Amino acid sequence: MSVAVPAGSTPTTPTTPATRPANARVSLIAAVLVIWYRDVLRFSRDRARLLVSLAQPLLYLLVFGVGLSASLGGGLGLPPGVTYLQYLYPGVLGVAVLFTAMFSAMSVVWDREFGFLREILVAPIKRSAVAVGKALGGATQAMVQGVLLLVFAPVVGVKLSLVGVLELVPLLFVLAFALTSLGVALASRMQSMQAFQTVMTFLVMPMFFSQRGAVPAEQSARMDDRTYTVRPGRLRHGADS
Amino acid sequence: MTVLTRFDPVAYGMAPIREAVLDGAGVPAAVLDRFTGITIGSYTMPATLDVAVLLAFGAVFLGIAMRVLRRRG
Repeated sequence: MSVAVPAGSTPTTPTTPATRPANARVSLIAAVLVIWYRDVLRFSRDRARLLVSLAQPLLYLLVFGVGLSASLGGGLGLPPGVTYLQYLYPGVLGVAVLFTAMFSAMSVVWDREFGFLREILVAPIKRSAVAVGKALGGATQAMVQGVLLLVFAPVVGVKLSLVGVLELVPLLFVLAFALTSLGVALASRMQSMQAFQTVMTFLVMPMFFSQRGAVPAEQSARMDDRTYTVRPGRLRHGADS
Repeated sequence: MTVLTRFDPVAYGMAPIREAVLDGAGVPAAVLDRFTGITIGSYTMPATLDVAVLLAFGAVFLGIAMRVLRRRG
């Protein structure tokens, strides 16, 4: 059956079934890239946010690192030759990635409040591209934060080789990706910024403490035991009354 | 606390990161497992398994996000 082409119009090549999935794949990747690029661009332009989110882990390093190591001394049970600052340093990298990854998902709620999300969702792209783009965008931001903190490794006495850095970068990205995905999953259900912030604070703090970034696992277990053994003594002396 | 750690994705991410950093600090490989790995019973998880758990965690939540956005918008 032939299709009549109106006079004066350019005949178009009909899309064959073989090329259609390829086009759909390209448009999906393009949509993911656009959403990823928008988030990364916003992050790179927000210098204040970048500086503050870098200052926070450094503050942890200073307060916990210098303060706790001075008060606990050798009581942390670290292997010989490892200082508390060296032990704490990866925990600080984790804090930087955790906070940036989880809170980067806030852009989903933000975009919803300002109507931008609706504009993206009615665009002729797959909606899954929005989630993937947001997750990759947040993961990139968090990974960059972690990588920037690697500059301070020599300051705490960690000598990272090029291979070590190349090993750490994908690890930071995987951690950031997992956390941003969690954040985006939660943010996609949230209707207000306040609700999102409350839920995030509720989740982030237990996640931060349970990863034992500040105290080694063995020492942490001993501290748990001590809590139970000290309590009866405190009760006997009326400290808890 | 130990139980909580097993459900914390950050702990799975931190184990290989800590291993790489402490390796750079010159900690012997024999000591590293004691301070980095997540233990389930007497089994210490290797770094590759930690990364696999983390990727699975990310994939599950990304799937949830995709589903929610597809349904609700």
